[in-house]
Amino acid sequence: MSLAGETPRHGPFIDVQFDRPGRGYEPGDTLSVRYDVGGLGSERLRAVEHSVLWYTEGKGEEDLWVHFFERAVKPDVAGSFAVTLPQSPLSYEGVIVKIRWCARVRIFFQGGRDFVSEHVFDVGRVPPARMPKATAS
Amino acid sequence: MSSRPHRPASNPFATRHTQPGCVPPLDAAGRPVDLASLLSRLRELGGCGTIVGPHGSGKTNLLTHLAAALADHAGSLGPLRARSARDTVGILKAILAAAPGTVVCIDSWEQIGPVGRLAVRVIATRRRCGLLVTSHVPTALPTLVECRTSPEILAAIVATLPGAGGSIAKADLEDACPRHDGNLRDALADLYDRFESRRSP
Amino acid sequence: MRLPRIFGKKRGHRRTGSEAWGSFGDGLFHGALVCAGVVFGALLISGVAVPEWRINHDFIESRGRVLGKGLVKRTVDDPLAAASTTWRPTVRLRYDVAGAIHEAWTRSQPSAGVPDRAAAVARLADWKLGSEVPLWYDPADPTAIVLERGYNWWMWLLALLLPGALVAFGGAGLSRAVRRWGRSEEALAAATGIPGLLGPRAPASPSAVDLAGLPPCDDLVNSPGTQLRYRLPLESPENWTLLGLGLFAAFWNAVLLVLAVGAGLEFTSGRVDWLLLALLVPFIAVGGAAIALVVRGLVLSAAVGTTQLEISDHPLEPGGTYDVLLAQGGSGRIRRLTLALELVEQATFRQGTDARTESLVVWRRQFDAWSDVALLPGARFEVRSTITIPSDAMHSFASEHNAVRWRLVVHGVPARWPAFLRVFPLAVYPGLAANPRETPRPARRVLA
Repeated sequence: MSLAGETPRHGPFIDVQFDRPGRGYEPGDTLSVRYDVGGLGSERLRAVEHSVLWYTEGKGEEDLWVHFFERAVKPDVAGSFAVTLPQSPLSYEGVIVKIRWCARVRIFFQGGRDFVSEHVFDVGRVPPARMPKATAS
Repeated sequence: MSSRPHRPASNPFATRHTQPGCVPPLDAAGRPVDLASLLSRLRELGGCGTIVGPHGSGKTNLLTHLAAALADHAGSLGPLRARSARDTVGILKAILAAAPGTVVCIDSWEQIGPVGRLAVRVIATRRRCGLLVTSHVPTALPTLVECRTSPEILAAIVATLPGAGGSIAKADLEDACPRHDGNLRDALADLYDRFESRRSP
Repeated sequence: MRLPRIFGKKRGHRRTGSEAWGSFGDGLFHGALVCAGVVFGALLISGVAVPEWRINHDFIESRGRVLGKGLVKRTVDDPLAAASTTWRPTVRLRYDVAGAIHEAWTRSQPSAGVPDRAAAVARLADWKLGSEVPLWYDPADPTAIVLERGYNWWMWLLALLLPGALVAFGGAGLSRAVRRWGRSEEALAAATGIPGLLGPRAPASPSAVDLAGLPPCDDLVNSPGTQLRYRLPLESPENWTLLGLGLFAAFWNAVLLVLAVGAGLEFTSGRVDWLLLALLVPFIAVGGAAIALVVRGLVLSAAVGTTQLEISDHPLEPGGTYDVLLAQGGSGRIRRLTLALELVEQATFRQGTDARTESLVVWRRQFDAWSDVALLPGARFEVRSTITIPSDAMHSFASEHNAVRWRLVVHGVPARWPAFLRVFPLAVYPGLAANPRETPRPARRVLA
């Protein structure tokens, strides 16, 4: 459903709501997420997967670790999940290495096609690292 | 307790956004490559061809896009990354598993050595598979396209990266490309550093 | 007809496409291997193993008289080579089975044949015409007789190993293909746990606490200190450089020695190859320079002496303060010696023909500095210092291609020698003591 004033969306979309507006969590906190799937048209869902994971970003290749994963084979267009966050790794904004936590919702259609939506949140309060002055150009 | 740090926007030059397959394939003038005509030429060459070009000229990126386009038409396998002659067995295994008519896409063709290349060609021919490879120099396979780099390509790539325009100026592009002898991969890594250095503290 | 997509398209944070058919070919290939293994195994078992087993278990012992001797000639046509012929000795026997007299030639496996006819004839001499010999006959077919029993273990090994390997390899691949069939990146990662990506926490293994992404620190806590709890291992780039240079010098000069010996032999025999000698000159220069650099590095290492660091606890925690003992050996005078704490990011990128690892020091704090340090032979310069990890610091992190590492760095400027840098890795773990809530293992399940 499009909100008033919002540009109508074409194709599938997944709206995700975190239980904390700032999406800021501490290690050991419980993360609660609600999601709504829309824009399906005539396509039918085969399964929905939701997961909580971290990945690396930066100048290196992307590494990924799944902390929580569930697959619903009798899916609904709305769902929710809650998971206790681990002690590590903390979200990190480095210079050439960044660690981002995110919640992913992936929907599978009857034809085999899938669509994924990813939403970043923070774990911990590590301040961003900055490029050292000597190497900054 | 400290306040939660502000999460900066993603660096548009991170590997996540610039790795092969994520940026459009462009010609030396910075215009999108016509994949359909390249596929047509590949068919004329009997399904075998080499993408030739120096380091960081977009060979792997073009191969990735062609593999995706082939998957939509005739079927493709890969791109398979070759790092040394030891990868030959894995490549042969993949070819044996591929359906006849599949175009097998191999990145860094020269890495598997002359014996491995011969074995791959023989098995691919017997399986009636095509071969689309990347190499720094022309190979025994016909050359499909030669990749070249230019400041225009770098500018066109940067234009496709969301959020890159704010911190990176035209002068940066004009400086980064020749500084790395036209190696676009290194130039993008250079722009990554410049973007990071200009973030607000 | 539109073929299924093998690869999904990736557009920023949104990816579309189906991976379901990606594993089809893989599954087909490994399924074929399993079938080949089963068929091959069945042929070997039915053709070799079962007959041999029956001879040893079902055949009944009796005695018979030798009536005749002969050779069975067997020719195998090989399309790639000349036809091969083998000769197998055989004996005609008369024997009694439950009151009925039978006469038959002995049987044995085709492998009992030998290519040399004379050898086969010589073996026939073991049996004398008219003599009585023990035999075993098949109760289901009394005309099937053998003179020897036993197992051909090589054949059994072949029967088990080859098809077994095919079935195991194919089955593993098939199982993997089935597991991957149409599954997402998260589902695969959750199921496999990405083995090898992450190491466990070394000193304690709190089973209920999830500490993903922390590098192990086993190697950092396995050496006790003389005054403080742990002695830190050295990870000096100088050592690796010296080792690499040493290997290069050894290889280069070994090749040079071979060439020089060749040239010397020619010279002693009165022939002088001036071209070879001219070519040898630059090679000798490079070899000599390599040896000089290695010797210089070794002398420098010995003259400056070893550097040791001990620390009061490990792994470290953000906000924690730790005692450090710096011990510097050697002799002479060091004009300046510093102890600094650094945070280094490391990223490895492999794509196309490139494999690049980049490191960057993103944070550095010098905790102590000493000037005009006099080193006496046989007595180490020992000094204590204190380091503090910032309370909001990032912990150590390691994944397959990315890492965030803490390290202590000792930098020295000797009076008579070039400066040296010695690096001691540290592990900083998140402050569990300050936040002891336990985290249950994450759920990985399928909802019906």
